[in-house]
Amino acid sequence: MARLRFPAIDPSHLSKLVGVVAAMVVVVLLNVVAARRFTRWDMTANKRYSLSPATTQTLHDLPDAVQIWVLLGSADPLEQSVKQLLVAYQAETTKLDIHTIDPDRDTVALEDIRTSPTPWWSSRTASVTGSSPPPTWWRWPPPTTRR
Amino acid sequence: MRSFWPIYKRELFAFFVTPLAWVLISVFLLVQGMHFFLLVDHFANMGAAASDQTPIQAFFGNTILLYLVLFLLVPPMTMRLFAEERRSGTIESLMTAPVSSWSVVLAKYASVLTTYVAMWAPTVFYLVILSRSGEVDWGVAASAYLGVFLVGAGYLSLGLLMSALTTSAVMTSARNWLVVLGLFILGVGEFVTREGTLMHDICSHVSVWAHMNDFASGIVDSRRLVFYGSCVVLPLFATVRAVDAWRWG
Repeated sequence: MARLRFPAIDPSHLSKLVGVVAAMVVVVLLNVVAARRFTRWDMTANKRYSLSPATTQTLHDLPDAVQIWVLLGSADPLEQSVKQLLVAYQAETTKLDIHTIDPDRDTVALEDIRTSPTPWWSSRTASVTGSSPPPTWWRWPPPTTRR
Repeated sequence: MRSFWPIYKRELFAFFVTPLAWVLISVFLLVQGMHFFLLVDHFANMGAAASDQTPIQAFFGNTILLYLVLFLLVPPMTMRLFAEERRSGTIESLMTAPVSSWSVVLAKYASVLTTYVAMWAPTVFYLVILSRSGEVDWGVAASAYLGVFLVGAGYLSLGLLMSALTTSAVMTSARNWLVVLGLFILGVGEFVTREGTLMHDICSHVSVWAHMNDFASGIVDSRRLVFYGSCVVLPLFATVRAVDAWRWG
């Protein structure tokens, strides 16, 4: 049986590789941190993607984590603007946890939330385009637990 | 760093005396001009019924043409930097001269980046033409050009690294195409993978397509700056180590 042989690594090459690998690790960590805390600058003349001061204040004052479920098809004309809006929210706070489900394509995920044991969304869903969400829609887990 | 300017000037000169530079720039401007013509034609026919997209947005984002041009142009631009000189042996005189590896790498990188900027500069005239008949949001234009500059800077830096790793120009551009296309396809994974998974997060972080869409709509995101900053710095650092490796043995 033939023995599998690996090429020997020259120790002088090893020391050079260590520097490059260390730099790669630092860069990956830096990107992970940057992906979590980021800022967006709006360069449009009419400030199309900027949030109003009231919205930013609300986002800064969020007491605890908020779950947002977006059920929106990719063919929906609102899809892009809703996504941009949610990313703009995420730039202000790290407390948002956004789940996007495309009900037309990802039927499995749709079934998952439809059949999950506590139908919390039935009473607490904040429709993105709706007029007035119920006052405690951001509470997660919901204050009353059902058994 | 005193040796930076002489090497930089020599590299720039060497690129522009060859027909390669002029062929690349002509092809680039021809393709971009056709792209611009098609867009203007499209928007003129659509009239007021046009979508919420502006022509600048359509020129820089949401289009495959931008990436096709980048994929076709960047590998040939970087292929000669180190590979050609190592094959022909002229690298010997540079490597034995009292210059630091950093200044050699930075000078070569700066020269190719200057060429890239010079290639894109004439396209500003398209916007000037647009502004004569309509309104152009110069803030959005600035952020779109920033995006183009950052993507190009990242690709050129990767190309420089590939050039330092082989002695054959053809192999360099082949590898460069592989890396750049690989990055692009990984980014396309953003639309395929399920949201909320780690893979989706990675894909959307490196997705050039989504980045250019943001830049073209006038959004400058600090995540993109960090990503392209690392795309420039890391390959440059690795290139310096590679140059050191074949310089000092």
